Amino acid sequence: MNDKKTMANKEIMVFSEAEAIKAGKMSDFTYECECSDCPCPDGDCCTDY
Amino acid sequence: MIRINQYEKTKNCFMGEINGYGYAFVPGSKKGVVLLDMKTKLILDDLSNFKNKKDDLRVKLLLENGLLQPNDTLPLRPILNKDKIKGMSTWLHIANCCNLRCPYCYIANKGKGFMSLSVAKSYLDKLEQTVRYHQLDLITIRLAGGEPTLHKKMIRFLAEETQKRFIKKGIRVQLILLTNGTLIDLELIKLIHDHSMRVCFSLDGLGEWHNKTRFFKNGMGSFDQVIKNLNLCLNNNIQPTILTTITDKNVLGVPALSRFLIDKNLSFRYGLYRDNIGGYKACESFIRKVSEVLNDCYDYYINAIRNHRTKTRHQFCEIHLDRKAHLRSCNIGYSGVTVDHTGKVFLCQARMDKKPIGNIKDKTTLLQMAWSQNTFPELCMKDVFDYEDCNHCQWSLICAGGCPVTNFGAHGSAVSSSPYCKLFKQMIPRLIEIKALQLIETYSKI
Repeated sequence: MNDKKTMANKEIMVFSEAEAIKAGKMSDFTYECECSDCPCPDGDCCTDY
Repeated sequence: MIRINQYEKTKNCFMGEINGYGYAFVPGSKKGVVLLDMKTKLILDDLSNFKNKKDDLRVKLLLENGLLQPNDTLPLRPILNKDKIKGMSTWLHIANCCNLRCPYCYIANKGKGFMSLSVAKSYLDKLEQTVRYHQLDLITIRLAGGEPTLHKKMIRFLAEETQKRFIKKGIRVQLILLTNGTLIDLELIKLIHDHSMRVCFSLDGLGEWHNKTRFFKNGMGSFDQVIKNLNLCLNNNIQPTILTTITDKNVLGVPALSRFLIDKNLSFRYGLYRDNIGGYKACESFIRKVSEVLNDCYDYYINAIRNHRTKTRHQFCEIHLDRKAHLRSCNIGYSGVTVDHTGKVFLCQARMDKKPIGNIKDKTTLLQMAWSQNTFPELCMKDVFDYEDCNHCQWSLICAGGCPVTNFGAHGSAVSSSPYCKLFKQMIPRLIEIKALQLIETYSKI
């Protein structure tokens, strides 16, 4: 972790979960349980802003 | 050249530090958790730390990630739009009986009875009509009960029929088996594989902690059977999600369970018993106990991530940290229904003691039944921004007020804040911290 700490202090680094998912390095955690939230594929397709 | 005084930190932006990184999170943002180098974090903390041209890029990136915004930006008010619904879910109650006698079970009027072939066919007809009418492209069916694995023939029938009726026509289907885990066998495992079903096992603790609340009708605990079948699944490449209900009876067994699940890399959801605090007089002491065991769990979890020992994913109650704006904690009365073994349609599986909202033989679609429900009339057309205690909360788009059934039990209204609100507020920052740490692990691999 020390290396990473140094890296974080030196670099300009802004890295989002969305980028990690886009890069295929992380996935959205879709959990299963007895209840369901909006099951739409992109999550907010039934939401307007 | 950026003029920093034109910008401000985005409303509700939460920030922290871990492992030498900064991180920030705006509830409901599609960006999710964002890692920051420490200097960028300092600027976001206090914009007067913006010094020179070198910081221009930092500010540009903060703007791109929605962490900074131009001054006086009007807050976005997301609203639900029924016309845009693309998917729906059903709790399909295929067995009204169970081989366990868990005292906290919330399924009303459980007894004998299985879903017949004729009811199942009518349900699928109704689902086809609903999909066609509303032009849906995703359906989720929770095979539930009672204990659904007591009715294996029905599981097979539904898996094969959904393949024919929906999947072959391009409609995506997700089948989720909600089981107590006592009756899993190789035949069922093959079926689960063949139809890419997801599986949820209920496990409330290790050994006697589990047996306190999850026992057979002869009083014998089910733990040994559940663990045997959990291993059977794991040995056959099925990774069940573990569902744990925390009650006053098993709360002290949660630390040992957390270690077991994290070490075994099992995804797990901790929920709280809906009526645990009947009258809510004992709420404070229960929250204190749960808070202690969850903090213990998250300390252990963080250490395991730091030491690369786990890739476990975890959910606590209705806290959603999934890059979506949650206006409701679940989809009842909106895009989900419960269908019982006789074909009656209910608002929610925890409200099967109330008047049905329809029947699969009715002319209306399942979604129309959900929208015209009268079980919780106050829920119609309302979302978390209409809940008095929630509309100014930093976390409203994360928990969306919590479970409407629990809220009704506590306050007599489904559109009110959760009686566990205080606990949620304590745990959300910890869960964001865990996500940030998982993101650091990811970043180090890019």
